[in-house]
Amino acid sequence: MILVDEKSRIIIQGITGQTGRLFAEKMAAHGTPIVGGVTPGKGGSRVADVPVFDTMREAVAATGANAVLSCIAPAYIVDGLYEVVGAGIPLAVLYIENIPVHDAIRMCAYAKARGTRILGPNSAGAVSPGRANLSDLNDANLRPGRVGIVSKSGTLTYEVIEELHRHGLGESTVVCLGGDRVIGTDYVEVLRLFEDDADTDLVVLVGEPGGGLEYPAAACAGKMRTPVIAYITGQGSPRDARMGHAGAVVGDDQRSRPQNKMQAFSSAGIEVAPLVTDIGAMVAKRLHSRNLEERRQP
Amino acid sequence: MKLLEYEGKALLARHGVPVAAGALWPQVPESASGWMVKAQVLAGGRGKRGGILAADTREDVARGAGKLHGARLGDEPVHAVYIEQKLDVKQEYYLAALVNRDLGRVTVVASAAGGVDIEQVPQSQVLSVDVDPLIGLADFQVQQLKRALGLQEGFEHVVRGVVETLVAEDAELVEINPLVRTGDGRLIAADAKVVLDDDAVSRHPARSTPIAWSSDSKFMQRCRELGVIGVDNRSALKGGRSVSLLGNGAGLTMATYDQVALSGIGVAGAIELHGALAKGVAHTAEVIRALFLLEADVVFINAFYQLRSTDALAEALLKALESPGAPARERVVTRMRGVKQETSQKMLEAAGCFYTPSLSAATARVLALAK
Repeated sequence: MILVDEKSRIIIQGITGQTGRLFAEKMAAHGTPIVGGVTPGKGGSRVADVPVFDTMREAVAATGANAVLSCIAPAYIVDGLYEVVGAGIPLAVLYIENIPVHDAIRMCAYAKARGTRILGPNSAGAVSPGRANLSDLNDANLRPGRVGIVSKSGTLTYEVIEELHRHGLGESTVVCLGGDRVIGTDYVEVLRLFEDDADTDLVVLVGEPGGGLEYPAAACAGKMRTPVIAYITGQGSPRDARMGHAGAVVGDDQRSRPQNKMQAFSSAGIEVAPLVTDIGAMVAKRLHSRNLEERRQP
Repeated sequence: MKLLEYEGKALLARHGVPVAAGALWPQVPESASGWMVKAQVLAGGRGKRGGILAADTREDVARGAGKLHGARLGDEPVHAVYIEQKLDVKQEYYLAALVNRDLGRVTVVASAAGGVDIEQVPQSQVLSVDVDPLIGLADFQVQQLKRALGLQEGFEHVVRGVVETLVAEDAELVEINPLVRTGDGRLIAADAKVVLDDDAVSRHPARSTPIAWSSDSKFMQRCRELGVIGVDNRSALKGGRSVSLLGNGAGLTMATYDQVALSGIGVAGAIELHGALAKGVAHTAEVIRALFLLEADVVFINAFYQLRSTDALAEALLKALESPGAPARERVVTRMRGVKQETSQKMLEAAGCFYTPSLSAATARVLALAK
């Protein structure tokens, strides 16, 4: 598994708010290693039986936190991220969506310069089922297994997980990059982590219209030992329509089009699923033939 | 959101980028050199389609404006007519600043070959400079741009103004094509294409509603009022039965769209709930009523929640189905996943709607109904 596991030490930023509290209770109830939360002015209290701190620095000093789920209001998100980076936390999930793109540019640049990896903005998070759940996914809808998923979308990822389960498969780690135009972590970074992960046998990569992060991902996937199956959504989306993700727009730019992204994966020797409901069977088939191969050459 | 030329120029002028004196028809700016009469449309290439007319006298201005006012350029409605002082153009350049998504930075693009579609200009004649957000446009980059364009006097002021407009006005694109050098050596933005960031609207409360929104369909306007994302695809339908769909989350909504559209069935449009369910049953019912405005033959509801029950969505759907103009229940296909989805299933099935927890089964049903 990658990014999060049972050794993670998770902090919730904004733990005393409605969303933060819900996440804290969910994590505590399902065995995710949550170690505390931060809300300025609420230090000394407890939520979901973990301590609340006034500042990120205090939280890190007291708990050794190394991952944060940020659940604070849009107006405070930029400053909140600066505090996370300043406290030296290596991984931050920004669940929030619809933040101005120039704020995202500043946040991502600052975090990158100071060594914090951001998932998001507009990310559903990351989860290694049975180990740690730093995401909005319901633990009851997850199953530990050996397929990695990297996707921008949250809801579409739920569908991909369902596809795997229909075929008796499970997930090593699920990573949601976020649907905004500018995001902190791209496909290639996550593919490299999966490539080095002993617990992942295959990666499902889910792309969408807009931008061009799928192109370097296709080149990277084509060189990996771990097989990758790609699916690009939005093939039928009308031009210029914004279907919810700020980033997912089929524009004038040829690179933004799903069909061209699918072509890039095919050209790199990567299998491409036509529809989301084709993914499960394709993954099962690929893993099956791979297992046969391994049995033949022990 | 895309702005019209005159709206974009007002933003540029605010950040010190020189623009020609101009006014919206029927006002006419003072000019000793004649005028340009310009159709305000959201698409490019308007010059080629007769959207820009030169006028030597006020009578010419009136004639040209009368021709363009309320007309259409191709598919595009002319939203207004803008009258500008005519410039003595010596050379045309291209200058733009944009959000480069893949780099997560602002990129400045410039070329000495302006006045034509930048995609048509050979790469060797286009210079791109990436701006580090932690530093801003550096002096050496300004020098690099000056050398590429062969410009000196006044250029730094313009390029810094363009980058400032992009960042301070929360724009995704500020494009000046052409940026002109006049006979007396001034640099002036002769056109402006500005695309603003929809997610930063609340930071600019003084801005007026973009004029182009008024030509949107009733469906799109209703979606905007309700804070959900609407896609109206009715103008692209080719006859036969059509499907309208509603999903939660962009990725799932797009994937659902593909399930229908790639099978050759027409999609009239879609709504992405965008968190509407959290605002309650009554609000969600309004959203579903908006979906009915598309008047599609089949309605496809596909929602997948992790930590939330879909009961409120089922209730909202049943409520909306009671309103006048609602589709017959047998034309509604629902696929809902969520906490305790069985109660939603019971409600929907008791009311005569098709329910399935499976996307494949729901898709099959929709396609069968729409064939």
